[in-house]
Order: sequence, then structure tokens, then C-alpha cells
Amino acid sequence: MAETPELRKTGKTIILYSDELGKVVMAFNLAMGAVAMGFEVTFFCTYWGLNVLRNGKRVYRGKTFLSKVITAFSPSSPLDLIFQRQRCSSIFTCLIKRSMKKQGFPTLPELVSNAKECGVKFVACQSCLELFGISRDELMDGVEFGGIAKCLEAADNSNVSFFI
Amino acid sequence: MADVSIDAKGKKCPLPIVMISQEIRKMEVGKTVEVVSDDMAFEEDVKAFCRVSGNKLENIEKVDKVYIAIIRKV
Repeated sequence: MAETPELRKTGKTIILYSDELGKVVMAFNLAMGAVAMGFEVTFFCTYWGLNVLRNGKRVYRGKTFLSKVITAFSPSSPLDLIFQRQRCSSIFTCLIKRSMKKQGFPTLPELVSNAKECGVKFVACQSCLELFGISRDELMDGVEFGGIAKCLEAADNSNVSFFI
Repeated sequence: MADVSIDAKGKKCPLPIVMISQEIRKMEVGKTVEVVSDDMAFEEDVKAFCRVSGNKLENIEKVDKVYIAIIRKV
């Protein structure tokens, strides 16, 4: 069978919308598995998915009052993300994180850092950065920025897109 | 000087790209459209749009927080 442009596309795109810890960890498992198998991976982080890109800083200078309030209430790093589906989600998160550590599961910051080292591309949705009042200084290094066209271009260059 | 001008100032993603797409559909091949946008996602988005659609991004520059792009229909 002749190789068509469709067959040559092997990249994977992950559109990360949620910051629910279980979904985010699964997204990174998919990404790292894909990278290990030799595929290129692009994360397009939008809405709450942007919280995965945060570097732990809260920047208030230069923001409107509304953005400052949103900043104060938002997670500042992947460490702040929780499992949201259970009751007493903060306690449950604590228990599961302890269990993950005991069993040798990588933490989310470790997953993010490994993904960056392995060449996973991270793109932050610019419109959502503005909507949530997130400054570029609050994001980790190496993040690219774009809108829907950049997201769809990545998806067009992939043979699988995940919406998480 | 472009053949058509689009003022997308005040419009957020994806509206600037939608406006470009609508205008390009009406244009003849070889004509150019100038787009002005203050959306910070615009530069990367218009580059991606041109790469995927096959139209040529003749020029893009930023003047006082406003992007001005010229696209030629191919």
C-alpha cells in the first residue's frame, strides 16, 4: 500500500481542559507512553488544564482587581491539584498521594518535568490565560502560546487527539 | 497595500481566524488581505492557519501591541 500523508502522521495531541488530578495524571501517562514508543506529543492546555503549567509563583503586579482575586483563589502549581470526584476530596487526595508515593508512582511535578525533558511540547491557550488572569511569568519555562488554530494544527499533524 | 482589509481589533480567538477564513473564501487567488488584531494569540494562530490552509503569510509585524498580518490567497 502506498504511504499517504495520513499514514505518515504519528504524533499524538492531548487537549488538556481539566485539572482534576486523576485526569491529569492519566494524560501524562498517555504522553510518556507515547514518547517512549517514539511518537511526538503536543499538550494544548486550555481552561483548567493551564494549572498544570504553573510554576508555583503568584504574580499580582500589573493585573486588574478581578484577575488578582482569581489569582489568589487559583492553584499556583501542579502540587495544588486534587482528586475531585470523591467526597472529602482534600483528605482523599492526601491518602492517594501517600499511597502513590509508597508504591513508587511518579508525582505530578515529576511527570511534568520528565515530559519536558523528553521533548513533549506544551502550548498554553492564550485566550484562557487572559480569561483566568494568568501571567506568562507564572508558567514554567519552555511553554509556547497560541489559540485554536495552533491547537488544530497540532491535531491535524497527529493521528490521535485526546480531549481530557 | 493589500487588496482587502480586516479590522479584528477587540476580537478574541477564534474570531480573527474565522474572519480571515470568511474573507479569503470570497477573494480571488493571488489577492492579499491585511488583518489587524490585538489578540495576543493572533501571531501564532495566523501562522498555523497559513501552514494548514496553504495560503501565504507575506508579512506579520507588531506595532504598539497590535499585530498586522498580510496574507496572500494561494
